[in-house]
Amino acid sequence: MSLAYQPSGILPGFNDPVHEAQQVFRQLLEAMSHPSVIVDIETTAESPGEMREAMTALALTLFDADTPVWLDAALAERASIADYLRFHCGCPIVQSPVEAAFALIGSVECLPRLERFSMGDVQYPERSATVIMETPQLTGGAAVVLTGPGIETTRDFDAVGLPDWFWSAWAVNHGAFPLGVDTIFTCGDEFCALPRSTLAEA
Amino acid sequence: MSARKRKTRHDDGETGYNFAYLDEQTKRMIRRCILKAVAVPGYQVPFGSREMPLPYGWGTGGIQVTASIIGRNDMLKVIDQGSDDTTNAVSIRAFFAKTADVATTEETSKASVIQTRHRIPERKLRADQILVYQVPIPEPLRFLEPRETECRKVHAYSEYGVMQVKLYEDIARYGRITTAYAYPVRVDDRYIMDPSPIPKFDNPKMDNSPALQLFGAGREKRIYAIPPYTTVHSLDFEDHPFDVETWDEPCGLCGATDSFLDEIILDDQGGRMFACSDSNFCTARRADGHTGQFAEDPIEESRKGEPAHV
Repeated sequence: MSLAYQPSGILPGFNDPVHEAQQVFRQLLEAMSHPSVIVDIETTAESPGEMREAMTALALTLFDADTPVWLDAALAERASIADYLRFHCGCPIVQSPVEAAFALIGSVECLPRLERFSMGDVQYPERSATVIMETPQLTGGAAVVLTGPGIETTRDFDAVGLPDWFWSAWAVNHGAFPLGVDTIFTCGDEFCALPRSTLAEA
Repeated sequence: MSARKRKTRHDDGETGYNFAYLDEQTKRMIRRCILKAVAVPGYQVPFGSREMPLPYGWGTGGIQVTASIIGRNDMLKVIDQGSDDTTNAVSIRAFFAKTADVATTEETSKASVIQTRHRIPERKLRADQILVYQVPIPEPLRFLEPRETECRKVHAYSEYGVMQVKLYEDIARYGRITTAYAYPVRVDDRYIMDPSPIPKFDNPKMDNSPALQLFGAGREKRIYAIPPYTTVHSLDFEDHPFDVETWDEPCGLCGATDSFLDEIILDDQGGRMFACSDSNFCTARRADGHTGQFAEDPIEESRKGEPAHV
């Protein structure tokens, strides 16, 4: 008989937390260093509710008691998601986007305006939010052309389902450099990233 | 040292420490700092530097960065002043071989993670490699403005005139910029950054490098980064452009004319030679058949005719 605490309904996290978190982090570091390059992860964690594999693995890799997390309506309406994050990561779930170090967006159509998240402080720009959002597809939509650190010449980015205002808001976000949010786009078990340093043009 | 594989005590859960020494909470904190450092190239992100089992000044910052990124499949190379064989490099390599059981190598081309003290390898790095620098003093303005609060404002508002004045004063006094190592750079046209005490010879290698470059300062508790393909400009003036040091002689061992050379004293009669500081680069060239003037044992050569040492 196992005496381990087994709360009902909470799905398992990583089988091997040390090495899986390391692998996911290295893939994220690769993605953050090469904006819009898509990486695809393997994970043993089981995802609760509307959270998909990549978003779950990123949460397990990055979140802990030091990272306030905000969930959008799509994720917040399922108590199982907040329970999962509280149990595995011990992260506080906050009610307002501006308090969050990380935001999880289950439905990118409902993404709040980027300026509602913490942009950081001009003397401490690292205190900005990282927004992780689930998109219907990472390729196949209207393309923007990216330039900036991590991109040798230019690179196309064409995720599907971003709100109409997203790229004008991104121009403001990039223009505020070194302030600004950093973004990770997930789709199932794939993800890519756009740090604030990336310039996107139509 | 070649790749090696043995069963580790971590796998059996017998040791008192985690994979790669740091606990997972610390690694997560450092990983989050590294991601923000990549997002804001050249900006020094404060982090909660831990006490390591070796003193400050021996690469505790670089070790914490390496410990937070390294995995079981990595191949680690550690260099100190370009050499794989010096105390610091040997100790840190042994540290990770023991605590993370990673394979280690001396060959630059085989490494996936390279931790370095004071040099960038001569061989061009690739996109699948990460270079981790050990940094003693991350703040490029420290000797111009001792107050941390003021330095932070200078970076925040990009008011870097004081650095240009410092370089100008060098020119006014000596006719050239005399900074030879830790030569300040501007990253992506925004932050001025200290590249750690690498010789200015290495500065051009940072510009548009395909490899990710991470910098860790343990005592000063700062992490910063240069993402791949990022502009890194060594500060200069239009009429005094940045240039690197050159040598009159080639490497005494391999004959290279395009590498950074160390001067080595051979005897007390004024005998000396120059040799590549990058030991792996020099060894590989000699293996390819390149030889220099002192390719025969230089110490033995210089000792001929002297009384035997006891």
